[in-house]
Amino acid sequence: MEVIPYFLAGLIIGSIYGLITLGLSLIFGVLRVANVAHGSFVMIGAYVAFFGFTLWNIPPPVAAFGALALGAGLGALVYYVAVKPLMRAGELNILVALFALGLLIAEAARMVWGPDFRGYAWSIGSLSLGALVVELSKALGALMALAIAVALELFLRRTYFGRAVRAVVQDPVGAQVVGIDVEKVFLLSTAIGIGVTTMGGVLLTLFIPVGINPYMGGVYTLISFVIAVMGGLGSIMGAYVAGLLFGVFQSVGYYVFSLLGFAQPFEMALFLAFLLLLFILLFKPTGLFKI
Amino acid sequence: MKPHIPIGIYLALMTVAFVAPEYSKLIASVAFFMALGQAVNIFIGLTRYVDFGYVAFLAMGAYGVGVVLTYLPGLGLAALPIGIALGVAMAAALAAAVGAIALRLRGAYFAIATIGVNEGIKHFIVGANIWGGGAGLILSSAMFREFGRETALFLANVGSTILILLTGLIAVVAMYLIQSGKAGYALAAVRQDEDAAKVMGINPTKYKLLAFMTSASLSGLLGASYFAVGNMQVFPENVFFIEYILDGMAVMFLGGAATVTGPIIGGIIYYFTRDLIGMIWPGAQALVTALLVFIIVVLLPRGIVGTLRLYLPPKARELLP
Repeated sequence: MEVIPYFLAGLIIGSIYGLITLGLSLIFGVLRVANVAHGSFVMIGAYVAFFGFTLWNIPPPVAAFGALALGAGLGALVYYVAVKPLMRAGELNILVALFALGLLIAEAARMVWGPDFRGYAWSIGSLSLGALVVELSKALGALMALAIAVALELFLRRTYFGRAVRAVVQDPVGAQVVGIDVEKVFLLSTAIGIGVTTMGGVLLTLFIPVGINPYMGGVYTLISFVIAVMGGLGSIMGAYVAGLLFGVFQSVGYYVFSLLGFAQPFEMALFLAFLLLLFILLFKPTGLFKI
Repeated sequence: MKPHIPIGIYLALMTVAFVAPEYSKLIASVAFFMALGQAVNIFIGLTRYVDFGYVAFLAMGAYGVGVVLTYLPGLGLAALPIGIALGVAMAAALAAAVGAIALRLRGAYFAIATIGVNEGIKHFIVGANIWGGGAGLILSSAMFREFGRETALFLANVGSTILILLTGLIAVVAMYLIQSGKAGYALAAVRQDEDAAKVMGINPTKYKLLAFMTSASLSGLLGASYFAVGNMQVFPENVFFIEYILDGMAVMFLGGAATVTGPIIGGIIYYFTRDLIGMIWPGAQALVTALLVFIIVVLLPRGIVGTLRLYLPPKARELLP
């Protein structure tokens, strides 16, 4: 079966996609805000990985934790600057402000780091399973993404703060009535959501050898929204599993479209992703599965 | 509250573009933002729904002219109206298709549903390698062949400017008619409370779709006039450029959402601000644009005209619809 390597490769990149989507889904679940600046934070994570590795030789799995701290700080800033002042002004204003913020971050990145595509190579060997060769760095990234998703889920289920978050997701007014500091939940959810996203950006660089540039975020905003909607907006494990599914869909789609003779199979797979988004929102807006 | 001033401004600019062709390109650049802001205003301003895939409508218009000129040779001057009609029709059809599906969704869900429309269609054109694929359509030789060299250059220089101004003018009239008619009241009710409006017997999807398709058709006309006729090329990286929706929203918010005069004032200020920044700090236009939108949305959500209307006496308010 020629398709099996594509399937496995899809699962591995899908794990990263899942990780990148967790934060988007968490923020939407808690604040009901669609973070359309999402991809920009993936981009920041990618630059953290690049500079961490090229300047100080920090391996990406370690840099991921630095990115978590940086992203959480940025998340808190975004909450105070863009989200909190606009919560009462209405959805349109928040969406437009966040959209502008996303472009602002990308443009600032271009002015500081330049428009070039950058990349680095961190190799720790590879594993061959018959015809299939798996790079260990990628497998490690995928496993780490899984661990982070499970840790976040456990955090939301087992700790007081996690239960507070889930209470706000279910009913913000009710949560306030029973004494939960809703604003603190908003702040921490934004910080964690964006922190995890930048972390995802770091691990993503293991898969895009020369793809780091200021405008790389846009496509991940799109992909993350497709995945978040597939998994049910607001669901953490739903987002992760949908990420795996999307990775397989993209990878196998690439294989099928190249068999069909399309010149740009990757672009066609993305086109299908966007159709998928529309139809899931229309027919199954709560997501494909119940987790 | 008739829109005499906005219509007057457009007619004056058309006269200048015709009499003094050396200013034509400058007027076209300013008018592009004015018309884009007005078209965006008809949908986003009147419904308060955000469509992140909006730029696809500009692209549809541009491709309409591009496809007719490239694949249907021998039409002569008729290629222009046929191409524009095809472009507008494609934009309207896309709006109908996306709207029929996505306008049932509320607020943020609509925005999410549209987030992939623009990129999705671009990926389709590039991926399936249709309509010139990633390389785009170069129209200059087809325009020279169909219209003759002199006419083609006149159309690209002055004709496109008049068309862009005409787009803005139609947008002003459409905005005024929608806002002062039954649809305007229905949309105002839907904006404030969609459920209450439904109970009162208003069909929200119908009126949102009306605003959406009107707005999309005008953007199709604008895309055809500006990219295809004015620049004589249709290049996917250009016509699907995501920042145009930010430009449109910047102009609308700067001038004042859901006002008729707003996008004109917003467009003029926006163009010259960008121009100035380009001279002082080249390459920073997009950065400053994004910052500007952010600041306006946070600090001046009513925009210039919207804020003025709050403080003006009723008589003066009549002049600034």
